Amino acid sequence: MNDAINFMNIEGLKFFGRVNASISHELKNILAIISETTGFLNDLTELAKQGKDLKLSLIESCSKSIAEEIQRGFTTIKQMNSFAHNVDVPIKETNLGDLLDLTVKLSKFLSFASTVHTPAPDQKMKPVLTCPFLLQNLIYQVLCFAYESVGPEGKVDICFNSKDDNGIHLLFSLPVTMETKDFPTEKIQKSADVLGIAITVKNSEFILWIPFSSDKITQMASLL
Amino acid sequence: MKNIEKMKHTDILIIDDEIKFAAMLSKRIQLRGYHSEICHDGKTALGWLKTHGTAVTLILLDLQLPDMYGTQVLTQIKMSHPDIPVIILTGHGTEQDRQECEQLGAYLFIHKPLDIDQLMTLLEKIRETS
Repeated sequence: MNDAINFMNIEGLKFFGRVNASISHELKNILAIISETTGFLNDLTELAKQGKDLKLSLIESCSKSIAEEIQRGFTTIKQMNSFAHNVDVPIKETNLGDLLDLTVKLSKFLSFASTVHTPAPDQKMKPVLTCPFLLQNLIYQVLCFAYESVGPEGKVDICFNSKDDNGIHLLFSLPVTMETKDFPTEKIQKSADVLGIAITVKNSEFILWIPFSSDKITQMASLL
Repeated sequence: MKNIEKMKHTDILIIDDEIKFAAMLSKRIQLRGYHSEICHDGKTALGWLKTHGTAVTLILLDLQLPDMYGTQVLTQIKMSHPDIPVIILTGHGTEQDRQECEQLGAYLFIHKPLDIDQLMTLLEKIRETS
């Protein structure tokens, strides 16, 4: 169990760093757009001073673009805040839909992210007792693997199957022609083992079986 | 903004996956009388350069592209069009990235946001020396 906790700490820190780097990149992109748009407005003002006609539609479009980018910034900061608070309570009952939704949104900041279809979060879904931060790390790793497999033009479909009495199946479907023989990687497998999660690969589908509760999680909770 | 009316036939290729950023930068470049083109990924940019490369004076290249690393794109550009200066325009390039890009032949390595007047000065300098 100590090995698992060491692994958790090292991988958790790496994951935290990686996500924060992608968020800061996103925020810098937003600021760069705002900076160029205000620069363009200054250019138009200079032209107007020289007696050129000022097109109101251009001003309107710049203003709209700035407002959209500010909203994008607020949304990003909200996601960053939710992510940061995932480490507040190491083990807790977690709604998988909400966790998946946030993880997919965070993964979309990666430049190589593909198109992802996810189910809408369902508040009635039975929660799982888990370490939300580590589960997020695992899902993030699977998403990265999927993105690298299908490429930026590709598509990944994600869905839940909650017919099992003991847990929930989380399915990642890639296009049928995709090679999946390298999945799971050693790191993904280890991250799943720590959480008592089983991984199977069926054709071009990665399936994570996430138990509602597991001995590993209960043991971990007693040590944290 | 002094020479805003003077039409200059210089091409700047912007390779950046941030669509709005590239579009706005392109508008500002065009407002100054230059012609610019945009590619949002590495493969498209390399393909575009195959047919239009001789008309390009300067390339602005982002390091984080969806399909390729900026350094891979830079390497290929330097192989096919060694004379086109490539400015790396990055959101979060590290010192290591800067060193790597310089070794690969980047003309300059700058962080966003971009100073458009600085860019125009550079472009004029490149045009004068080429």
